[in-house]
Parts: sequence; C-alpha cells; structure tokens
Amino acid sequence: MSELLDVFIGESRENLESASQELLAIQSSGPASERVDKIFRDLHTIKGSSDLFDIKPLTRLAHAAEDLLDSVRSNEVTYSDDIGDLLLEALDQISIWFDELEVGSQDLEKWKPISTQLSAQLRHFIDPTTPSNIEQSNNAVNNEGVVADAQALSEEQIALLASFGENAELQLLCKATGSHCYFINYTPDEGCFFRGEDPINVAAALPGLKALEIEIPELAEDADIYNCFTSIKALGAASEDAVKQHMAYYEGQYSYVIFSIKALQAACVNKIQKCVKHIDDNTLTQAINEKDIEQVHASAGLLLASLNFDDSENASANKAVLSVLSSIDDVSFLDNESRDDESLSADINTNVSSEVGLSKANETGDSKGEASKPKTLALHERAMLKQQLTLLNSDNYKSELMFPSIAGLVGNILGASFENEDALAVAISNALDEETIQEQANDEQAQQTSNDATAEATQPANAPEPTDDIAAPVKAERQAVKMLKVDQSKIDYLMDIVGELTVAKNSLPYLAKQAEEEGGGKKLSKQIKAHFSIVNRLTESLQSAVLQIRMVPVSHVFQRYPRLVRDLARKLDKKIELCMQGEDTEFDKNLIESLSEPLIHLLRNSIDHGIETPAERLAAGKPEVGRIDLIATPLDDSVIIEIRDDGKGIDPHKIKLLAFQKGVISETQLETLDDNEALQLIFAAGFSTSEQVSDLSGRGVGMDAVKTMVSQAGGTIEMQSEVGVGSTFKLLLPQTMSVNRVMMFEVNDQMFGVGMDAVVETVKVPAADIQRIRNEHVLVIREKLIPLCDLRVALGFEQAGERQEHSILVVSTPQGEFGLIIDKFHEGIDVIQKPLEGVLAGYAHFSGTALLGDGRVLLIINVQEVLAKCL
Amino acid sequence: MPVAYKKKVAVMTGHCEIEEAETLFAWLNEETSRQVNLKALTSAHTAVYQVLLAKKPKVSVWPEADALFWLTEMMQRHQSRVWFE
Repeated sequence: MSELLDVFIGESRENLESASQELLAIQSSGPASERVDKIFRDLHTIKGSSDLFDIKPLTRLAHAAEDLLDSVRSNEVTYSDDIGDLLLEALDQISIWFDELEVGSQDLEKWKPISTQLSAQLRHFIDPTTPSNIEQSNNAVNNEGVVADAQALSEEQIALLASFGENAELQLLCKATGSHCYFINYTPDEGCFFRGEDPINVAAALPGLKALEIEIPELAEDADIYNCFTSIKALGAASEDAVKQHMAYYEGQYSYVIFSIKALQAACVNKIQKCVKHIDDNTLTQAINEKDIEQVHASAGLLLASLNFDDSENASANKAVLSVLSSIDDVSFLDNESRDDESLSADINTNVSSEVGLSKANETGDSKGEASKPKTLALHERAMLKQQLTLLNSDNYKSELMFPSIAGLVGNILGASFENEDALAVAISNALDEETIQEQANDEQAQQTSNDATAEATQPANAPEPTDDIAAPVKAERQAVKMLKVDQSKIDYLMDIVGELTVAKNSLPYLAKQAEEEGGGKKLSKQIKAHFSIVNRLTESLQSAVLQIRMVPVSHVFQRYPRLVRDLARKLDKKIELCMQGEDTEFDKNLIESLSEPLIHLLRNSIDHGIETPAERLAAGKPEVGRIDLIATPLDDSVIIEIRDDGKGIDPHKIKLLAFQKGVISETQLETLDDNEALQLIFAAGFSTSEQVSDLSGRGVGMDAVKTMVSQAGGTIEMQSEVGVGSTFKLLLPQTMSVNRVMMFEVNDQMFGVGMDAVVETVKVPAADIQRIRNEHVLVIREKLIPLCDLRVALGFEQAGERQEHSILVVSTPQGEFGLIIDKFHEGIDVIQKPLEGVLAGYAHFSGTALLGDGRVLLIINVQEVLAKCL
Repeated sequence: MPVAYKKKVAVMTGHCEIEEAETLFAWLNEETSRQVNLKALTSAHTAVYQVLLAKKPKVSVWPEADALFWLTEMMQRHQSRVWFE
C-alpha cells in the first residue's frame, strides 16, 4: 500500500511540476489552449489517482481545479491572472499535502477546511453568481442532517419524497437498510459527456439505490445527441459520506438531502397505523402489539401474498405497509405512537400495488424474506411458474385472453386462486422466492460483505468517467514499460562496482610487468597486455553505460526556476522574464542536484540586485520587462551554464573599493587589479555588495558559498559584467564526476595524481634552462614565460640534490599556465576519485584520493590550492 | 460491433459506448417504425440511454441483463420512475 502511495506521490509530483510550469508559461505568454489542456490533464490524473487513497480533501481540491480548467478550456470562463494565482495556490497546497503524506503526518481534519475554502474559491470563478457555492450547499446539507436527526422530516423533505410518487416514503422505508436515506437531484450539465462523464450509470451505481427517476425531454430530430439532456433523481439508503464520495467528481452538478431512517419511520407512522387498521388481521395486529417481530414478518408476508386484492384506493398504500411490516426489524416505533389506538377493527381486503408487485416479480433475488407458503416446488413446477411469469410480463400479454389460463395453471401448482395479474405475479414470485431464498440469501450475504468491504476501493473503478480513468492507468503502465524507475542507491552501488572493476583492471599492467621481471617471459607479459586491452575496452563501455544511466537532462533542475523567478519578481514588484535554453543538456544526477542550490542563489542575485525596477528600467531606456537567460551548453566533457541578466550590471570600481574596505584586498591590489579580476572578488569570502540586506539575498555569504559548492562539484565559476548592460555568470562543470582520468607522477618516491584536464604538456628541461626572475623560478617554453613551482617544496618534502634535468608538468589554471617541478612522470590512469574524509578533509591541496591497481593510495593534487601556497 | 443495424431492427450487444448514440439516433429518426433488440445489451453510455428513453422505439426483445431492469421498466411502461429492490 505504501509503495502504491509512493508511486502515486512521485508521479503526481511530476504532474504538479508540469502543471505549474504550464501555468507559468500561460502567465508569460497567454492562455494557449494546449497549455490549458495539459494542465487539465495533469490535474485530472492527480484527481483520478488520489481517489485510490483516503484523501478526499485533496481529491476534492484537485477536482475543483480541474473543473475550473475545464471551463477555461471550453471558453466559459476567461483566463485571468487571478485564476492562475489561485490555481498555483491550489497546486502548492496539494504539494504541501504530498509532503505530509510522504512522512505520514497528514491530518485530514485539518485538510478539510482548507480544501473546502480553496475549492469554493475555484468554483467561484466558474460560477460567480453563487459565491462559495460548496460551502452553502454543505451548510444546507448539514442543517438538514440536523433536522433529520431530530426525528422528523421537514415539509420540504416530505414534498421531495412525495414527488417520487404516492407512498414513496413507505416504499423507501420497506427497502431501506442502514441508518440514513438520501435524495439526490442530479442535473448533469450539457457538456458533461465531453468530460467523460456518464450520469445515468453513475446514478445507477449509487450506493444503496432504491429508486431512480430519469427525465429526458423530447428530442428534436436535429438535437445534438452528445449534449446531455438527462436529469436524474434518486432515492436510496446510504450514509452521507458514501453518497458524497460517490458523487465526488460531480461537485456542483447535484444537490442532495440526507435524512435518518428514524425520521422516515416517524413520517410513516400515521399511514402504517391507518393501513393496519384497514387490513385488520388479528394475527398481525396482535403481533404488532406484542412486538413479536417474527410474527409481524410472517403475518404481513402472508397477507401480502395471499389476500385477495381489488382496486380500492388504499391498495398501494396497504401493499406498501405490508411490505414494510414484513421486513422491518423493529416495530416499537409504531407501538409507542399507537398505544391509544389499539382497537383495530373493520374487515378490509388488502390490495397489491401493481408497480411494486411487478418490480419484485422481476427480481428473483429478493431477500426480504416474505414468509409465505411453506409448499415446496418440484423443478418442473418452478420452470412452469417462471414461464408464466415471463408471459405475464411480456409485451404480448393480453389480459382478457391469457389471464384465465395462467391463473388456472398457477392456481393448480400453488393451490390458490387469483383475481388479477398482479396478485398472480406476486404469488408466483413469492413461491419462487421461497425456493431460492435460502441459497440466495447466503450468496447475497457473502456478496454484500465483500461489496461493503470493497465499496470504497472500487469506487473510482465502477463510477465516474470510465473512459478517461481507465485510459490513464493504461497510459501509466505503458510508460512504466519504457521507463524504469530505479532507486538511485542501486545505480550508485553499480557505479561503485564499476569503480572497483576499473581498479582491478588497472592491476593487469602491473601483473604484466611482474611476469616479465620474474621470469615469466615476454610472451606471458604480452598476453596479459593483450587481455588487458580487451578488459579495458569492456570496462570503459560498462563505465560509460552506467554513467549514461545517471545522466538526466538539466531541465530537472531548470524547471523549478520559472516559479521561483515569478514569485520573487512579484515580491519585489519587478517584471522579469526567464528564458531557458539547452534544457535537454545531460548531466550526472548527483551533479545536477548539487547544482540546484548555487543556481538558485545566482538567480536570486540577478533578480534582487541585477534587474532594476520597471520604473528604473524605463528611465534607462530599457524594456520594462527584465530578462534573465539560463543557458546550458555542452562543451566536450563539460557543461557550461550561463546565467545572464540585462540588469544594471556591476561596477568593478565599486567592488574594488568595497573589497578594500572589508579587508578582502590590500591597497596594492586595489591599484593593480584589472576590472575583470575585480569582478571575481564578489566570490571572495565575506563579501556582499548589497548595501541593504534583504531576505532574498545579500547576506554576504552568497557568492562565496556558490563558489564553494561549484568547486566541490569540480567546476569553476566566473562572472562578467558591464555597467548598465547586465551581468553574466558562467559555470563550467564536468558532465560526470565519477570517473576521472588522472596523470600520475612521482615526487620523493611517492605517487601523486593530477587531473588530466589540467595538464597542458610534460617537458624535460636541462637545469640550466630554468631562470630566476625576482626570486621566482621561471621557464621559457616556446617564447612563453611559465612560472615554476617545486612540488617538493610545496608538499613539504626535502629538497632534492642538484640535477641535470628537471621534469616539468605544465598545467593550466584560470590564472594561466604554471609548471610543476616533479621527479618522474608516470602514465595516465582512470580512477574513481573519492573525496578526503575526516581529518584529511582539511587538507585543501589534495582534492581526493584514488585506489591504484596494486593497492596503493594515490593522492590527487588540487593544482590551484598548491599553486596558491607555492607562489 | 455493439450495434448491428438490420432492416427494421438494431441489435444492441454488450456495452454500447457513447459513439453509438449518434448513429442510433439518426437511424431511429429515419423511420418511426424501427425497433431495437436489447436482448444482449448489458450496459450503455448515458447518451445511448438518452436516445432510447427519448425516442422510446419499439423493443423487439427486452434486455436479459438484470442490471437493465430499470431500462425495461421505463421503456415498457413509459414512465420515468423505477423502484429497485
């Protein structure tokens, strides 16, 4: 169950996400119908799936939102920003509820008022003439519930019942089970078919349905049959909750009244008493007085089946009363009221109403338990009776011709005589019922229990909008086949194994070397090397396959931003348009997630500090609406993410001054830094350019934190800005971070690594070529001056003795190219780089470690940090 | 094929979807004497019921399905109200 809920929440979140995106798109570019459609479908899916769970307030809210969108879609309601805002609010609310559901802290009682209120607001847009439509109808219902519990029906309710025909209350009473009855007036609107609704089937599936009235006007020949003209009234016995749940999708199209059985009984007392008097059967009267339920059932049933009937005015009432009495479980309510009326007299025959009689006759599954003739029927007799019954009910039945023969036949079998068709029909059906009653009662009971138990669960399946709702799961299933959702930890595990395989693979060359050295001969060594190249190739493809699995489009992160930008812009009274490009650029999942935070920060900065207020913009001759570009571009194995705004830009001089004031730079730096370098100062720790700290950004930690996060992800960040034109932040990030190719080298007999992408070239130069300029070692390679850094010094080893030749590793950094003096070059190698943990985490000049094929640990040097120390 | 149109009778079988409503309506409108055979009809969309109840064509065979007993009642007796058991 919880797995189902997880899937539901996961999928619904995607729906929510896409719905909010479309909403935002609508807000920026106007309500395109396909967008509205998309949102509608998203909400429809959420609503549909939510019904699987006991979260009615959510379902109701989603439904209200869906209805509103439907009206927008059909142009009944014009889209406005207010509607958009309200819908977004509703989506937010649903999202909050998902959060609660996820941790299991949901409180449906608290949800209810929120849901009711929001739904009412949503529906207010659909039909402004009835503001807070739902609240009213709910109140009305509640009130009436109270009245009903007060044991009496209001005039209005009696009138409603009366509209269902004479003695409707008696008929309902005799059929009703449970504690409450309902009356529903369901008037589907004309366009309901287009929403996949199926009103008659919905009504026919109402819980505890007892009576149905379907009104359809005369249809002209050119009527549009795809409009719904039907109006439905229904009576039944079920609790308010059950009814509301059943009709949950048709909010606004129906009204209902709930009343208790007790109230119904009270309303019937007079009629029953009158009829009992009328019928005057001693056994019955006595049984009622003695409250002998079984006896009441038996005698009423007997009377019902056996009495002679004529067309007296009380016929249907008497019949209904007897039906009630034959099935009721408690007659005390009668007794209480009728104490003063005990002398029942008069000899009157009971009559049977044709309507009820026949409806019974058709339903062989009658479980009411009329006690009638204890005669057992042979099989052929039953068959004959059935035939007669069919004949009786058939179209071709002609009373004057056929009745005598049927009556005679039935009379022979049952040993009774009949005066009219109805009595005959009842007698036949009773006789048949008697036979089947036992088995069917059992069956029905079993069915009943299972029905009750599954009633809630099956609700969405058998009731509303069958076409759409069935289509949705099917679609989901199809997607499930194509897309495999896998727990990320499993992929991570796979990644780890691949990593270890890489390490194991790396040990093969060592093995080859060993074989060669220890007498295995060249042949063995060669074979091992050949195998190595095969294993190497396979490992590499395996690696890239696994990496591919982890790749997700950058839109995963990007899609959250339009909302953010919109909200912030509103808060600050700015007008901002967010343009995104390259959303399908792929990225490692982990990287993307670590990216989300810094990007939000940068966006906030652009919105808060970059883009000016509309007035300022107009004054500066710019368009009123500011523009922020968010662009992702793949570049080899990296991705560049740019955040560009057309705001006021950043003044490098101001930055320099501020940095100086805050002690970030020295006075000499103040003089020497060029504009570009000055701009990068905003990434320095403890720097904030905003004079006023707002709640959005400008706490002085922002850019510093951004830079840290980006470099942790193995990326770099830089910014460009032009005063009055705008600023651009450029993030360069590796596409994957799992496997790195490093160049190994040796310093003081220890192995170190450096990221291959930083390596420019490796050179061996005679010691004489190294020159000294102002206490710094430099080397000129191809007329280029390259500062040198002795790694022995930088890493704290002893100085090596004088050498003839130096090995120099030329690396590139954002500050230019540098040369690292090392002892010996080794090969390049693929490693899974692990970050330093524990106490080692403090050593910034190593970016991580990796395990070598022979089991040694390789320290990977963070070039920039080392150089910063060394120079 | 949920609805098979013969010369005089439309034989409706199984569940009739909303798409059938339009054809059925047009077919019944063409000639008033046309009948429907509901013997094997098990259920239908409201739009189809709507056609049947509004046009009330002559029914050659009533539905066998118990669930459609209300439809029989309404069409046979030309009444809009049915009590269930």
